[in-house]
Amino acid sequence: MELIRIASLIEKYKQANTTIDEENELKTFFLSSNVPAHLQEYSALFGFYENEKQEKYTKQLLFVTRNKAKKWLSVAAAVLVVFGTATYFIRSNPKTTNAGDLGSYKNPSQAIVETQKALFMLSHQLNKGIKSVNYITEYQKSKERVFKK
Amino acid sequence: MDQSEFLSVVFPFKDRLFRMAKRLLISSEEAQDATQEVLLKLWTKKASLQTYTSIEALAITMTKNYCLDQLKSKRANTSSISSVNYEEKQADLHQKLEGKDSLVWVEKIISQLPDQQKIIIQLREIEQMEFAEIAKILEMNEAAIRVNLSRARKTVHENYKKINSYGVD
Repeated sequence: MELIRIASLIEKYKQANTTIDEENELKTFFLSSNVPAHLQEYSALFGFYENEKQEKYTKQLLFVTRNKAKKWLSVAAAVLVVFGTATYFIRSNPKTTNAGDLGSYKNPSQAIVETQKALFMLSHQLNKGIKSVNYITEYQKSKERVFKK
Repeated sequence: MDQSEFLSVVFPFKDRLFRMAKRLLISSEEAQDATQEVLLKLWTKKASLQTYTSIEALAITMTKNYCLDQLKSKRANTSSISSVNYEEKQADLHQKLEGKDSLVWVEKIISQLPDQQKIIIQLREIEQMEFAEIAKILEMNEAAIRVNLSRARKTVHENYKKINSYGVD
């Protein structure tokens, strides 16, 4: 008697015309121990569906919610940095040059001495820079040693 | 809506989102990332959430769309080989656990269905949702859902029967 009902429910199930209640009835039947051999495969299917239902999302529900206090703190810090650098530059650059005064020398011989001094300083720094780059040729040397041409 | 309120809204269906993501993406890690992503998206639009009749339906739709997008970009790349390998590994792992064989086969059969049918199987067989709800989530009419579900149920059953009688895929 029960099997007749189950058989007709299976037909309905295959046509996707069963209700949730009817599907649960089928599930209960197929997960019980008295399933006839020719319907065993449905036990596997319903067993799988029931099993899958238990799967849980185990990761914690975490959200990066920056609270307002923190937000304002970063704004304040940014403002502080801007003002700090601004005052530093304003103070270290006192206004000495007036318009028209370019700091030129009136005396030609003094001018040439000062110019030479400036150029000498420039070339000195340049040589210093080149000296410190010289070791790069070492790479070339060792490269040639490794990859013998 | 503050965080604790949001969490209490989301909590009842977070597992559903994860299961849906896993049905489509297969890998647990990817499914977790997808769920996290969807929950974050929901959180950013929390101000407008009250205007939706069902936040859960919205969340499931978002998960579905997100996963399908992921799959699309994955299939567009050539990474399909690695994802196949992954499935195989998973199956082996499960098969070592005795008695889980049949469940693994069912899972495999379902993973070979078209995405649309996978989603419908997931929502009906596992989440046991009403056709009206599924129709809303998939933006399809109920009749079309029934046709697809019927097709999927028959395929799953027939393929399972085949494997069971021959033993091998």
